[in-house]
Amino acid sequence: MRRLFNSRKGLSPVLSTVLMILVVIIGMSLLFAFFVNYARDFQTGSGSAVLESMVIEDVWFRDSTTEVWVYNVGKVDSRITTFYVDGRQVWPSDWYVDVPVGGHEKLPVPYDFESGTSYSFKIVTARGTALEGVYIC
Amino acid sequence: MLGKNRVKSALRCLLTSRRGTAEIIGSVMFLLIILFFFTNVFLWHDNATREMDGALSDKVNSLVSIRLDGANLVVTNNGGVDVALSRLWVNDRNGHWYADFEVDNDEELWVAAGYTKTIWLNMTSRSFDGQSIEVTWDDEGNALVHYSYYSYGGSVTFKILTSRGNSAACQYKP
Repeated sequence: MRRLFNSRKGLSPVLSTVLMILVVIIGMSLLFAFFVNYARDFQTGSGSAVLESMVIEDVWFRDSTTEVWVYNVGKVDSRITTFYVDGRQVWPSDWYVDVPVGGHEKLPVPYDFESGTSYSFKIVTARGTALEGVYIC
Repeated sequence: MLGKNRVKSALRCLLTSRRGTAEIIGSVMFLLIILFFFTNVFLWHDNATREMDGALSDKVNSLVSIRLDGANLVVTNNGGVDVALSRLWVNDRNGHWYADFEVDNDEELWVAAGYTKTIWLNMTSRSFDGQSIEVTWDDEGNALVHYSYYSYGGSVTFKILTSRGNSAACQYKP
């Protein structure tokens, strides 16, 4: 017993094995944490673009007030970040509207429309899903 | 003969030598772990795609039409899948209004595949809460929309929206 504790033979291989196991555990933990974050970001972000689906349910042109109503028929909440009229972006960059699953939301359109003219609307979400339509004022 | 012996001895050496075994086992396990990670993402994406394919299929198979029958709106489900009505839009010269049919889970207006559903219009009164038209329900689950178009004198467009995103419209012209 005394020999076991006093002898310094074989100390280096034991230490190196323990150190190697520690390094592997730490390395795999870091890799796992990175992957979990990556998978979560993917699933809640661009990955869930496949779960997005919206329709333009009503468009109302009247005087200076133009309203576009959208309905979220998808499986995830969506955030509308960009609104184009005839290819021109009409929303400031800091505007957005959140549309929950099954929710109806009104989108303001700051644009001067002319009566009798047709306009192409394109609405884009933060995940890149676009919905389009042509409407006559 | 000489070549055959060399192959034999190389094979024997490969099978009997234990050098590099740990590296091989380590590499295989590492590959398995990586495969597990990416399989997880792939399966999730595959499941999400299937789910949306199903939703799209249901949407295509639940097209509706709407017609005005006196003081009633008759909605027909022309598809093979039942559908719930979400909202009725009414556009007249004064504005655009909506009647919500999805207020809570107990009061939903379902139209069975191939069947029709009648939405009653209250032709004696109009009741609004802002932009929303009041809807009342009877014991049999029928909806009464408090919107009268008789006194208007102008054309009125009715547009029905289903919970799957399909819509259909009809117009009243005096």
